[in-house]
Amino acid sequence: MLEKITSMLGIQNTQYRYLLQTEKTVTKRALKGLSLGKGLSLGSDILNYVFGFLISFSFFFIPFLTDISIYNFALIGITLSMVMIGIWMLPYFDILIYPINYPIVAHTPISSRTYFFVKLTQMLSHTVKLLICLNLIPAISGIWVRSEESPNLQFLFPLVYLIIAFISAIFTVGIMTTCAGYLTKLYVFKKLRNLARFTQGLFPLLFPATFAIFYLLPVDIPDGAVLDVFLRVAKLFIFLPNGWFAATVSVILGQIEVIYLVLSALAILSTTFFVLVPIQNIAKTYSQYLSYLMETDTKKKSLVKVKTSKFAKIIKNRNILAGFCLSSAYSYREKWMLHNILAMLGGIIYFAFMFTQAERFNLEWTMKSYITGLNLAFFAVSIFLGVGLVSQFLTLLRYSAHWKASWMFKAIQLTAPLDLWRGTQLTTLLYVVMPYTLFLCAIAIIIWGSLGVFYVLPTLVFVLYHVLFLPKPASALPLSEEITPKMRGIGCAYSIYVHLSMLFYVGIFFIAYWIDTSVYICVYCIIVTGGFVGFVYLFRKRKPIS
Amino acid sequence: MIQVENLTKEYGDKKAVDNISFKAEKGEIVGYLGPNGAGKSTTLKMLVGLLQPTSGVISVAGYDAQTKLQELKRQVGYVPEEANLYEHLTLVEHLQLMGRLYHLEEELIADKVIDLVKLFDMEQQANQRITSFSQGMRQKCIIMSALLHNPSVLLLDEPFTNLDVTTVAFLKSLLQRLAKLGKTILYCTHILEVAETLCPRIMIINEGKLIANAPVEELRQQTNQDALNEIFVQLTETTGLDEKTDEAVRIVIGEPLDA
Repeated sequence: MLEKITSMLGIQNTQYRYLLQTEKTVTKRALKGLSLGKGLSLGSDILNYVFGFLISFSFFFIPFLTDISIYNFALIGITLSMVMIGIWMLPYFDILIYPINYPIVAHTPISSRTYFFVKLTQMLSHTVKLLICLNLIPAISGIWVRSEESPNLQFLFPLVYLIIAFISAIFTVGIMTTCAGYLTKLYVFKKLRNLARFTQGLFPLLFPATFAIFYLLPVDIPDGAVLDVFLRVAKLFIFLPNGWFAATVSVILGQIEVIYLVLSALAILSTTFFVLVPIQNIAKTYSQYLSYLMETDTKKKSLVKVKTSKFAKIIKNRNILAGFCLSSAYSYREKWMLHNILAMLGGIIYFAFMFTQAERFNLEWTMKSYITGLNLAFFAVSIFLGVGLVSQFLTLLRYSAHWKASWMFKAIQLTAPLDLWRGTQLTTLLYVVMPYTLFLCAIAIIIWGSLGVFYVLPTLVFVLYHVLFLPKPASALPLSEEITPKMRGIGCAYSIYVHLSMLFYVGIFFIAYWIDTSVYICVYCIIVTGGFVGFVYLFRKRKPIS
Repeated sequence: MIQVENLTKEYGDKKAVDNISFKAEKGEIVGYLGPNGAGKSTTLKMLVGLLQPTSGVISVAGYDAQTKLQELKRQVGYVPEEANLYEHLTLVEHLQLMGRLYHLEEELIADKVIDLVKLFDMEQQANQRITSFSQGMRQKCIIMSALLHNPSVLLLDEPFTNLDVTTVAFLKSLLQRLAKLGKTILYCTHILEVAETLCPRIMIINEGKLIANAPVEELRQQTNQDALNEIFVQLTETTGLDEKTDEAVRIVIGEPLDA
């Protein structure tokens, strides 16, 4: 069956089968080969599955507690599934855009179309587990959703729902692949190549942008039940694909209404014309993109302007200077830096939008300044974004495709290897923390005048300690660790820890304020002053690396 | 078997390969020499279809690189400059994959893999992951992959890098035998001693331009030099070696030399 489908798509079956098998084996072994990796890397995926499962668990009660229709039930389930899969799939686009293993097989007679579909299958296989976690409970509990039109067909709900949810997932991944694929097509045109590269960084903006449009719609949210509110909003999606797929579930289960039939037709047509046809088209021209990728390394031979950062003059320690120069050079040239920082812009825009609309959602309390230096919205968001920026930046200076080059540092008998990582931390302070703090100060001063600075200081303390305590490489050498699935795991585990710390940190200020104003002032002064002094002490402290 | 006409590859303003033309006949071993960055690897990558030429015509084993690339690739055994391999596969798995991508029969793959592994003294490493291999072992793995499907044309980019003396001697002998059996071999290197003993005809590329294409004897007569390295130095106009060495010593030691 699969072979017939692949033949229809113009794929060479043997090559497709064995290459896919190889990619799976290689990924599996890469995970197993890591001492800490298996638990941690799988842990990040398992967290996603558990999260998806927990969310979907709430669906179990909906049919019993409410009088929901099949369409509405399917609409909520499919919307959730599509959004989660969309967000979850974002990191996997590298499979298509940066196929790292291609140079190994590029000289063999494998067609680019076959290679493209191997990559696409890899991406789809990642979605299946999450899809099951998200949709299994809704599929089962859907049996008890009321159905006046055709109660006898209710037992088919799990099967129909799962199939349609799977198609909706293909649609989501397909639309995203089409976008990513068209980006690969842009590479064919010289002038658009750079534009395309930067556009990739804007991908994650799509979701906040969707939410922004969603909130702008004229919805009068009543004080009624949460489900009722959610349904009213979700129904606005009737004109969007999730509504079409939900309608298809309703139609198959016997709810034959004109609107549902039209929406079902839209689901079929859109899957065909927005996904299948463009993907076929992209597959045809993928060879040009792969050819471009093969050239990219050679193109790097072009002249690069050598710049030494002006900050380098103020650094006396030679090891710190070496670490700083290396890190700053990479931060200029590593395209992922820009990619990830652009991605963070999505978060900034999203939060900025949320808080400008605070009144509409009864969130004014988050905008209130309880006392100088204490505003929940500003405090939480500024820490959240600051921590995110620092994490992105430092992770990219910890893991590198050029990790093997760290032999140079190992060959030299370094008396204090930690100094090299200090150089990297210094780069982060100067290139990320300093501009970010100035940016926050500007906003705070616009809102609160000169006292605005006091709103920024607690954030700065937290971000400084984040720079200090973010896990360093085992060898303390910058760019010395291989990019593996392990880094996702470590990042995921550490990010949970940091977010808990953030809650605790913000909580201390609020508790102090609620006890008494004078207590708040004392706590504020101790944390800020002690924080800065402690940071300077710890940053300068020399500790041997085991 | 290899025919190249007016081949050019440009990167922006820079011409990596500048309007070169040459032929390599069936059963011929042609040495392709040049200094670092001269355009040797770029030429080979274009011959195997990894890079698109800016202009020019390439024909390998009778197949045009523009229109019959898949067929062309089936006829070529390519040893790249960098040993790109699936690090987490074992040697046997990697060779099996290559055999399958070249559409070989399963039985043939099984037999050939065992034979090649023995031939290259890699039995002990056969079921080890490539990630644990030394550079020399990786190079052997690449060479085995290139020979597996009995190609009619071999494009070798520095094939003897990291290999021990015994293996190099064995491979030189093997290449000569394969040439006698009608394989066309384009041997790309900057190690002139090997090229001198292995290749009856030499091509020299410098700054993207083909500056010599003749049998070694003919080059000797043209340049009045005996050794190939002297011929190379003369043709590539690498002069002032003594002055350069003096300057290098001064830089390394960090102080001006006494007269």
